[in-house]
Amino acid sequence: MLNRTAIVYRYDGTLDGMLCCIYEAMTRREEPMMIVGPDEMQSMLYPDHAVGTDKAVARRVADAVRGKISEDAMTLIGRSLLTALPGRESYVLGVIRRAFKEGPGLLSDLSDQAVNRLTKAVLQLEHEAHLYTGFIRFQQGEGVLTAAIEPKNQVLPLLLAHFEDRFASETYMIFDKTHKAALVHAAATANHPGESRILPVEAFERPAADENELAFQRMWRAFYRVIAVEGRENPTCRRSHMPGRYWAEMTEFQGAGPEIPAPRIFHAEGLLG
Amino acid sequence: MNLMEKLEVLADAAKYDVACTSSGVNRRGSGTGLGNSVAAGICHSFAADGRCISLLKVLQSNACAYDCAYCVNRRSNDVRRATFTPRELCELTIGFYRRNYIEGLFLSSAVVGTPDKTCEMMIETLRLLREDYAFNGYIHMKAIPGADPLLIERMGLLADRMSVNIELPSEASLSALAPEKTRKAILAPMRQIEGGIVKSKNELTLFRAAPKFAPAGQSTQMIVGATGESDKHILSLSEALYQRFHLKRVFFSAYMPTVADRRLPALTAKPPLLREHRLYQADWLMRFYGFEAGEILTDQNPNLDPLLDPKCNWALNHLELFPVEINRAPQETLLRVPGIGVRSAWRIIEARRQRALDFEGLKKIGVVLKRARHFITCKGKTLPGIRLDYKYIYPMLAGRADTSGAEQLSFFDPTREDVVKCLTGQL
Repeated sequence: MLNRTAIVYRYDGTLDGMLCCIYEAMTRREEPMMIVGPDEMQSMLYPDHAVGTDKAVARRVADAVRGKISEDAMTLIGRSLLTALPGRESYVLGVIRRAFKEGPGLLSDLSDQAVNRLTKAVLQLEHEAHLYTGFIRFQQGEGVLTAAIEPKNQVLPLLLAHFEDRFASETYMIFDKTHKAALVHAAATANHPGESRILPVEAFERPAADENELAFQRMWRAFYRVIAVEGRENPTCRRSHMPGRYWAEMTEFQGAGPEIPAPRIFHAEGLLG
Repeated sequence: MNLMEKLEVLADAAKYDVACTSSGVNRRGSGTGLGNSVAAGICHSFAADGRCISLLKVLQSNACAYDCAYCVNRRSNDVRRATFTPRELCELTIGFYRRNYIEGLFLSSAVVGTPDKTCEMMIETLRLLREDYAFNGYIHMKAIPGADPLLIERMGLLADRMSVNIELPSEASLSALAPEKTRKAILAPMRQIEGGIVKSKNELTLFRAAPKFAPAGQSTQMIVGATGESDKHILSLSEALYQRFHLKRVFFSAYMPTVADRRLPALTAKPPLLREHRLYQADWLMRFYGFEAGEILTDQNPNLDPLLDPKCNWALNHLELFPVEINRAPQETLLRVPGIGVRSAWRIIEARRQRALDFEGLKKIGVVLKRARHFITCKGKTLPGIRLDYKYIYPMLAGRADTSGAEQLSFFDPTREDVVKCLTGQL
């Protein structure tokens, strides 16, 4: 492995930008100390090197990754950039550089440190996105459905296709508080097929809920309360399937809903105790 | 009674139905209508009892004509009665679905008048949802035993999953506790649904547009702990149901006393939750790990060990098959090692193509070494201090290892590390 070069790459945070970083690092034969996004601060005293995003270069790198490694490698790069793993760009660069040499097998070697980190981070991203397909709660107001989420990873790109397919005939908006972005969907009509987009959004004001909406919220809370079998309460089980950080935006825990119990100390022998 | 009160009564009456899965079928949205379906299933919430809430689980009505001893909705029980009109239920389902509260509808019902009349009302709800409301999400229907086969057929063509509750694990228990139901009346619709699914699958291979009959398959549930059957009996019955009726799932429901009856356990009896948990573990072994019911339990030991999961129990009784070499063993052997699940077995096979795995690598992959270490070797070596001995392993796996004893053991039985320390003078 090359010794790290005393330099920090700065790129625009996109997939194409990352592919250009790979190109830059390989042609200049250097291993930057860090690769940082456009708004990230770097606390170290290394010179910045701005890596421009060039579509043609990005396509060349993408073709090489597909041809010499695999299609899965491209997916791994794209998804890795959406995760919250610190230093994800450096891991991606390291793994791709080695995979060019060692072949596509490297990506399935989970006992390798870097591959393991990336694979786990991507799994977490996909798991979080899957949970949100269930935990997102829409609220209707002024004819539009709105929802807010506070994810660790950038899940919106993974949610886009799911909700577009499911709610094709609805107009909705999902606001990502962590990353200040919104997934906006315009309903399909007779002469328009409907469209989804992810846009940067600074702040988010929800249309107020009307009386009809409040009635449905009350009924949902009632259903949630009633459906639990008393005598089988299991707060630990509930929290492990649905961690507390999701609760704040969920209808069943708002208003005069069930009280949110304080987290209990987890017992390893919970089932026997 | 308004919609809110009806919902409370009819959800309350439905909550003892265990199944709430929305899995088994992939269906794209229609582009204009509402909803789709995802084969993996999606949980939308978790109730205070830790169970997944995926479907709007309600009864069409709880005004029952039957008098089954174990059931809250029995005719002789004094509870509030309510019935949804098909239109009300549709509005509720669509309203919840649009807000992403649910994945679809789970519709069951008490027997209102006759089984046929009940079925007709449920089918009307379904027809409205699918046709008038263009609802394309998941629907799980409970077939009513004793209904006309034509009605069951109609139901299966509108629903994704069908189920018939087998209720109790044996004919004798059934006639004692549910005098109006017979095993024959329960198995008849089950057999019919099975036939419908097979026929529909065959037709679909010939015509793409052939009607789909219960594309997400069939399931059932039985109550555990209300009557005296052994775990072996229950598992053998489940196995037979999987094999003969190709069920997707058999659910177990720990008996929860809701009504006083001298034929049943006392009202103060605790539900056998741990037993239910062990049965599900055994069920998983049969469905995903290639175990047979006869391997998990024997006539000498007809009940599952409460202290040990069934796989550990099996491994401890078959120590002659261990240790297993991680870098060579085929998948079916890996799956039988405690601490290795379906995913980690698959990951081991992927990873060892690149390089031989050691214990550190196994840990990264996600193998639970706490259990697996007793039964495996990596590159021909076990971990230091491991003994393949029933008396030694059992207390460790059962979480009953006496800590003072363990300390003493390491004194008399030094690990390799201790030996090295002795030699280098560190100890």
